This record gives sequence, C-alpha cells and structure tokens, in this order.
Amino acid sequence: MTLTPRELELLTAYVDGTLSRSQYRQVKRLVRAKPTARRLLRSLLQDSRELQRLPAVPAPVDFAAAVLSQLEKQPLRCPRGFGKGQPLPAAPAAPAVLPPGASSLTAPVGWFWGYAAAAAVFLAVCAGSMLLHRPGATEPRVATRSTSGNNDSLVQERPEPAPEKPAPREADPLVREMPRVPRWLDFPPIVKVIPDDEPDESEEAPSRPLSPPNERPGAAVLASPPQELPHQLERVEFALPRVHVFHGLDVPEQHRALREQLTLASSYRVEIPARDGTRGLERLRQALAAQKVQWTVPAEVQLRLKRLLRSDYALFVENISPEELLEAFKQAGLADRAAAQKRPLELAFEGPLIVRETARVDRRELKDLLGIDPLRVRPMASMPPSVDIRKSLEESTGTTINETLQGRGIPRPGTTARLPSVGLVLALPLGRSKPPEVKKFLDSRPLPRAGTLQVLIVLRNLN
Amino acid sequence: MDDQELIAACLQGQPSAYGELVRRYQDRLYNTVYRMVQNAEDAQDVVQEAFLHAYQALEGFKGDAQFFTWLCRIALNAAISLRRRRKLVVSIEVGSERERLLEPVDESEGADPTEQLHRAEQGQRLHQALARLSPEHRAVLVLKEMEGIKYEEMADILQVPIGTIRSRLHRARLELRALLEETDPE
Repeated sequence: MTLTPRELELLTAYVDGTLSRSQYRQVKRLVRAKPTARRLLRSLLQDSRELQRLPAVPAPVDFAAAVLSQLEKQPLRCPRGFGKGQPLPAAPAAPAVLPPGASSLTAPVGWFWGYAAAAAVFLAVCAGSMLLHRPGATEPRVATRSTSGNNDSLVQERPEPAPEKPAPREADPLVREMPRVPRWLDFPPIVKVIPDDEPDESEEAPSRPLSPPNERPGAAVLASPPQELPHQLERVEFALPRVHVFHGLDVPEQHRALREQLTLASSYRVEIPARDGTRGLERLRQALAAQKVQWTVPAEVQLRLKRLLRSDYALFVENISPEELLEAFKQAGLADRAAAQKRPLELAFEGPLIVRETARVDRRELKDLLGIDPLRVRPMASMPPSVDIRKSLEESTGTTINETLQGRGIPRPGTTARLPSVGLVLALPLGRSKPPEVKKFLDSRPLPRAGTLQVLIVLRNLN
Repeated sequence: MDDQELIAACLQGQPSAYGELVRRYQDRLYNTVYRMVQNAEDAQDVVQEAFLHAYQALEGFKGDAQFFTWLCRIALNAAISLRRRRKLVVSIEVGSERERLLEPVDESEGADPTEQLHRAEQGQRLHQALARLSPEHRAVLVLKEMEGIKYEEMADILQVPIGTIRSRLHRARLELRALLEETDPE
C-alpha cells in the first residue's frame, strides 16, 4: 500500500515535531489504517534518533592555536571604533604617490590617505601657483615641478587644454554626504609622479619649455640664487574623483550631480566598494541588461556568480550613453537598497560610487586586462570578411548579393549591419589571468555610437 | 563575557578576544562541518577559513543573529561549495578509525558487547548514507538533528526561506531512509 505525498509530508513533519493538533490526529489515523505508514514512521523516528546519537567529533587539540597564528598574519583591517577616538590600528601603508608602472588594481593602496595627500599637494601647488605665477592662468590640472636645473626652482603650470573640466571642490555636498568608506579600500593613484626622463605620452598636454615664455637667454632674472636641489624633475598629474551615493541616485540632487559629471568626458573609471562583489555584479548585470547592454561573461565569472563566491571584478563597458549608465547605476542601487530592507545581509554595495575621468594609469590597467588599450583602439568599419578582390567571382556570388540586399548573409561594406549598436560589457575577475572570452569580446565590439562612454568599473570587496 | 562583548573587544583591537570566540565555538563548528564534508582535513580547512573570514568580516557583523549562526553560515557555504566540487569523490574516511575511537563506551555492567557492535555498525551505515545525500539535504539534517537548530535559524544560516528548509528536510529524511534501506543487511 503506497502513501500519498501528503501522507509522507505528514509523517516527516511528525518526526520534526511541527504538526498542528489536527494534523497530529490525521497521523494517528493514518498509522492505524496503513501498516506501511506505521513502518515508515517507526523507521524515520529511528533514523532521527540514530543521527542524534552520532558522536560529536571535536576539533583537533591544537586547532585554536593554528587559527590564532593565522590571525596574527592577517590583522583586523577595520575595527568599528575606527575614527571614534580609539587609537588607529596598524593599517596597510598607503603611499599617496605610486611609482610609475605600479598597478592600482593589484597594489594595496590606502586610497583615503592617498586622496588626502593628493588634496594637500594640490592645494599647495595651487597656492604656490597663485603666489608666484600668472594671475590670469586657468586652473591647472597638470603641474610640472622642475628641480633639476640650476635656476628653475620655481613651480610652473601647464594650463589645462580642456577648460570645461570641473575643478575639484573641497566643499562638495556630495562629498560631505559620502557614506562610510573603509579606509583601506584600494583606489587608483590620484597623484602620479613621472620622472623627468620618461617621455610624456599625454595627448592633451602640449609640450612646453620649462622656462617662463618671456624669458630670454642670458637675461637678468630676479630670483633666488642657484641652488643644488636633491630631487629630479618630476611631473605631478591630478585626477581627482568625486564620490556619489550609490543607493541615493533617485534623489534629484545626486542624480543631477552624477549626470553632470558623466557629460564632461568620454571615458571614466568607477570604483564601487562592495560588501559582496559577486552579488553586486549580479545587480549590475540585471540593471545593465535592462538598458539592453550585451554582456560577455567568462566561464569563470559565471561559475562565481552561480556559486556566489566573493570576488573582485573589473567591468569594461562601452558604447553606453551617460543616461543609460546613470539609469543602470540608479536601478542597481535601488535594487540593492530594496533587498537590504527585506534582509540586511543582502546588501551588496557599501554605499559610495566613486567616479573620475580615466587617466593614463587606467589605460595601462585596461591594457593589462584586455591586451589592448580599448580607449585608443576603437573598431572601424571595414570590408566584410572572406572577400578577396583578387579572385574571380564565384557561381554563388549572385545568391550572396541577393541575401545581402535582403539584409541577410554578409553585410555590405561600410555598413554597421552586422554590429550591434548597443552597449557592451565585459566582466573579468580581478587578479586572474586573461580569460579566452576577452578575444570574443574584442571581436564583437561595435562601431562607437556618438556621445557614448567607455567606462572601467571596478567592483571590489571590502573584506 | 558574552559573544557581543568579545566581538566589541576584538573590534577595539584585542585579538585575544577573538581567540576566546574560536575556543568557544571550534568544537561545535568543527563537528557540524565534519558531518558536512565527511573528511577531517577538509573540515579543518573549512573551519579555519571560516574563522579567518569571520575575523576579517567582523566589522560587518551586525549582531542581528547569533555569532554561531553567522559563523555557521560562512562555514557551511564553504562546505557546500567544497562538496559540490568533489561531488563524485567518495570519502574514504567514512567510519574512520578516529571516529570509532570517539564512540562513547558504555561501561555499565549490563552493557552488551553485541549491542555495542550493532550500534557502531548502525552509526557507520548512517554516516555512509549521509555522505550520499546532496550537500543541501545533508546540511539541513546535520543542523536539525545534530545541532538542534530551529527552522528560523537554519533559514538564516542557509539563506533560504523557511518553506525551503521544511521541504528540504522532508526530502532529506525520505532520501536517507531510502539509502539506508538499500544497505539494510536484513
């Protein structure tokens, strides 16, 4: 005599002790009526007892010592009392200035201190510039400090060729409202020192002589006496980020602030500190997919998404308009906020959304990730593949032409028919070798749409 | 000191407080994980990783759950992932010598050696059957029967709704029974 699924449920619920009074009566009737049910219930109860009687297996004797010795190698990185009057714990050193060639994706840089140091250097340079140089000059973004020449001991400015770029605002209300940002969070260098002998690859900054433009050779100069300075010539490049509230982009003021920033350049770097990078990636994936952005997700990332393994990720997004990107961020932030309201542990993003225009260091990192600098190398319209003009026409040429004219088969030269005109995103796990899907992504890059952005998004776990 | 006080002390820069937490929960967590991964070495690795991970994430612990629940969630997620990776590997440590040595000895006068042997065999069969369950089903059985954890807490640990816990437990019991009947000597 077989038992129905409902009867089986009643029996297991009896073992679990979760029956109501009426269900209990049903079970009593059932075991009285059906011997199969009686036998099964007896066996289930026996199994339960046996499981409870399995001996507890204790941890090895020296287990706690082993854990504690491991802990000594991994000091706690962010005590809750941090910044509340308690002495600062030993935190990883945070060089404000990285040597050329250092990668911020892998280098453990305490960005907060870097940011503070950069601001201090920036203010010092600005103050020096105002005191010593042309009063009508535009606000400098790139400054050169000469220390190698005998008489060139002054700081000189290079005017920024794109004057519409925003000056850093120390009293920005968004910065004041910045959510809690852990101080050990990695962030790319915001000050970069380039030695004198390194060639300047910057396309924007025109090459200028280091001496003042009106200075004539041999002319008398009212200046300090010649000094032997200890340092070499170095150039300091600023790329200050702005911090937005990721969960608050539905607030008009914050929405407007990010929109304004996203219309100032064509490429950005976005850092998103995450509590769970993988969950955050999933939120971003859904939000960007809603904006019709096509994803290339390597198998390794898919596995991490499936198993919810915590990871840091780099996303390269391109051909996306500022509005689409803004909407995607907004939706991801709202989804995260809604999930956290239901269940606090679901919170994937920490809160800040740190945005700045890409700098040369970002290009280098993109090159490391993708094998090419995608900001410089853009796809171009080309001849369709498999067309060799040196060969005579084949018999199937007529068919091919007909298909092409009907919008099928090989696209006509110079058209973008085979290329999607939507945004494209590639998600990569940080700190790992380049997956084979990168080539697929690069091969599928569409022709750039006017007014769209290229964005490197770094999703990084805090812990 | 209770868990919250130890956590607070740890966050204020006293790592020794975390050592106390490790000592407090190591055996309980190890037993749970051992039943999940069925292998002593894996259990050690998983539990150690769980403690280290919890330490690094201690700042994010909100205190809205028991510390052990939180710790257990970290460890069981790791254990389930590990078991999935080794799905086809049959543990050779089932009913190991170490565990047999840990079997409590009944020293009462009326203790029947035959009964003891029978009980040991039963335990071994049960252990083997547990090893053949899916990680999700094994997890609910271990938490329910060996740890005596309530549905709500299990839902929190495994991060699934309570209804899912109920249905998993139902299927796990029936599956375990079927597996035991397969190996029933009678």
